[in-house]
Amino acid sequence: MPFKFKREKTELAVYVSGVLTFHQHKEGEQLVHQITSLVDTGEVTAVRINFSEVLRMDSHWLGVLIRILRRVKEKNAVFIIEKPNKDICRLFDIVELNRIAEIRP
Amino acid sequence: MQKFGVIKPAEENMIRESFAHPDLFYTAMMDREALWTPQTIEKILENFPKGYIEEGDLFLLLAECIANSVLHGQAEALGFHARERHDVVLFSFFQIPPMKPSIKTVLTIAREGRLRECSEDLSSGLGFPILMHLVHRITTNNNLTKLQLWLRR
Repeated sequence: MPFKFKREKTELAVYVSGVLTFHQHKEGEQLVHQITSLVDTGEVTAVRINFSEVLRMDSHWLGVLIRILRRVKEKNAVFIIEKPNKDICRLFDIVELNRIAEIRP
Repeated sequence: MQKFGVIKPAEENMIRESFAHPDLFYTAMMDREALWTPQTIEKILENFPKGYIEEGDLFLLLAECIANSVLHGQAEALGFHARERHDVVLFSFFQIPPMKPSIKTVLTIAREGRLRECSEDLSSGLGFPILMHLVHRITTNNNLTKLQLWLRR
């Protein structure tokens, strides 16, 4: 489950791919740590997570996203989720993630 | 039946006994290593008969219940079967050793629909509250060996 980072000035784009489940819990911890470290230092003021290559996702990774989102908001930075597929949109709808995060088709 | 990993004969017999129902249309059993292998879920999705449940919902059902069994239940082996009765599809997980008593509290919280609080402060897991949105009912048996999800078609 690789993820790639692209930095443009203070904006960070994160490209995640594959099937995201509790099996990749270490990668989830790593992603939280990497993003929050950049946000905490003020180097990054906007985080975009691109889901176009993510096939499926479970609640563990929903928790990972929410942890990142909370830290980003604490620092008054911007958090955007981009291009989730139909199944992942349904998961976001169930937990009403759009109340607390910007989700772009 | 799909079999993943190496299961002790005594455990296999217990799982097979849990499959003793009419109207079964899918069965699988997994050892602990298989539960920690992401491909196990993909292989079940490939072989599970179509038309009973949306594939995305089946993925969530499997991922959340397997996560519960290995992360919170220390499962050494897990049986999974699906059967249809009238307009209800029953998905049943048989766990060795049984689930911990805390599963009852977890399900009670999930039934109360505290999703909003979960997504805001992560005070408890999101898995079962999400599953409550996908199925009609989630139950356990008295000795906590079975977790059953009831889907009304």
